[in-house]
Amino acid sequence: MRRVIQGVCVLVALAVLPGIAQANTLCVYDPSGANGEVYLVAKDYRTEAASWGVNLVMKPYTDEQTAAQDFKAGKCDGVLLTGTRARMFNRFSGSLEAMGALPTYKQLKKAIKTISSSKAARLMKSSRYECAGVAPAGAVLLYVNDKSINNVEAIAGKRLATLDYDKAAKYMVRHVGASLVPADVGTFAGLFNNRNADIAYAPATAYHALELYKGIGSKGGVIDYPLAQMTFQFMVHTGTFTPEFTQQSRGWFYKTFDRFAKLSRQAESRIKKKHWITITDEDKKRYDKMFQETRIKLRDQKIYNKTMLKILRKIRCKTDATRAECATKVE
Amino acid sequence: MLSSAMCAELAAYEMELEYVRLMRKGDITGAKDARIRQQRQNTLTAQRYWRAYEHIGQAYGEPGTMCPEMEEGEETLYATGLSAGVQAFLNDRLGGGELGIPLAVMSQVSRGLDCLDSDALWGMPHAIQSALWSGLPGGGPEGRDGPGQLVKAIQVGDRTGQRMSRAIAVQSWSASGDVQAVRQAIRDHRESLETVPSAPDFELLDVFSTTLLQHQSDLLWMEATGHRTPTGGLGTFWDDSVVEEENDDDFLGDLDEEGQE
Repeated sequence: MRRVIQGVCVLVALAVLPGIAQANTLCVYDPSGANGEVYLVAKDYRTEAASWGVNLVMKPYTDEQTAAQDFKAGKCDGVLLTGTRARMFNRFSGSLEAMGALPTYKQLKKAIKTISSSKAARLMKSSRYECAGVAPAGAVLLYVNDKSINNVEAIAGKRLATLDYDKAAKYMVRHVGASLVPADVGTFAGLFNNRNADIAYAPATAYHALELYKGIGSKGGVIDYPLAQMTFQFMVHTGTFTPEFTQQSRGWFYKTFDRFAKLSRQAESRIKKKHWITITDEDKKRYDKMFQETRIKLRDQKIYNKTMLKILRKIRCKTDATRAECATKVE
Repeated sequence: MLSSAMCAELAAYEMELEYVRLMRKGDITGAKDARIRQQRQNTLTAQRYWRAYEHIGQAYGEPGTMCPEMEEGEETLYATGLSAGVQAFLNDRLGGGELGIPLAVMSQVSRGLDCLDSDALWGMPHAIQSALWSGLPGGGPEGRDGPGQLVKAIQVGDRTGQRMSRAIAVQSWSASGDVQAVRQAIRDHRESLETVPSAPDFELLDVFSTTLLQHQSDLLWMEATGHRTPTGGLGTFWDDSVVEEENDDDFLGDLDEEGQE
């Protein structure tokens, strides 16, 4: 009997020793792997999570699809990936990247703050997956090989390199009458730089890292009106972590907003001045109309979540109450 | 400037190991402090590497814009100067981006390295390029075989006794999470050290390559066991299977009946 008691004591002691406690796997997608910004922030997250009593083992992924598949297959307890990919796990948080929904970082910050609050916790959770944090990954910009492609009408008939797993982008390309050139994260820059596509879209970091200025050449540019806001989202399997932990986690990610946004702003400020294409207010309105039509259509097709679109509309109207949509409230 | 940056980097490695050790031990506050110290040290390292990179720019023109004319022997200086640009960027990133070293440096360096004869420089230029490309979606310029180039670069390094190429490769594999490749490379390095002596005029770089690999090995050991690679244990791992070697001399065979006194 004494041996049994001793055995139980040893087991209890092993369970409470931090070094031996069961660890959860955190898979992190970062194109630069463990040297990348996202991975490094995740490392800080891991340290913080340990102080909340959760031991995480990190695994870098340079391919996002593999990270998503491993998460789905249960090889990762949590995964950090882009919002576009996260939409397959959580339509609500994934719809934060809805087209044209948040033109500024200030609005994005407000949106992340809103959905990271404890009041919004039930919205962040589905029966299988929960979003345990969101951080900004940069405004998605449109790169064109000819400055005359500066309005919605001019996009018609042009070849647009489009991420083939992004249903929303595919719909928009058809909607504006452009010709879809299927691409993935690894090929879109090559397609644009080698003149196999007239238009590409990505955050400003790609302008530098993937040398999109080569595709822009002497005639093209970057349109200074964001298509969408790219985000990093931390997805977990519902029930793997406690509600207190996931709530703390959302708060932590919100606190990293300025750190991430700084990187994006820095990359935007380093785009050559001559490459920026400033569009008129009238054209902005036309873009807004096109984006809104697209969002509603995608909401009806259950690609975007209607509650999220409503929250985003409210945020836009808080910034500028004179917008027509603030009266019509179609979203 | 380059050697002072290397010294600063070695100090940052110590802090990184301390972070891993304390995390493993469950001393979270201590671990956070170690991480902050490491970040500051990375920023200092980045400053020094950046200065070295700037000197290269001042002497030879902005890298990646055109190939400079170089006297005999200057290629080594140019190659190490370019690699300083990469190290500056990576260390700044590790330090939290305090210096704001632009990402564009990576493509400048990648183009600049094309000005050099990789084989004549122990494969180092090709190894650096491959590592840079592996961090990009799509894996670098069209028509260039990054992984193939890397394997060849390591072979050149092994042949010539200046093995920085392998150290660069290991950093790249470690970044992509390929632990098996890292472990195999550390084993291969140990074997190479035993068979090919350091290139006489470039011992500093070869010794530094071992230091870099030692650090990768220490990180793996620390995560798994709480201590770094045992002395003389580079190329071995805590979970290596103990192979029962055949013992030709059976000294225990006839002791069965003797018993204890």
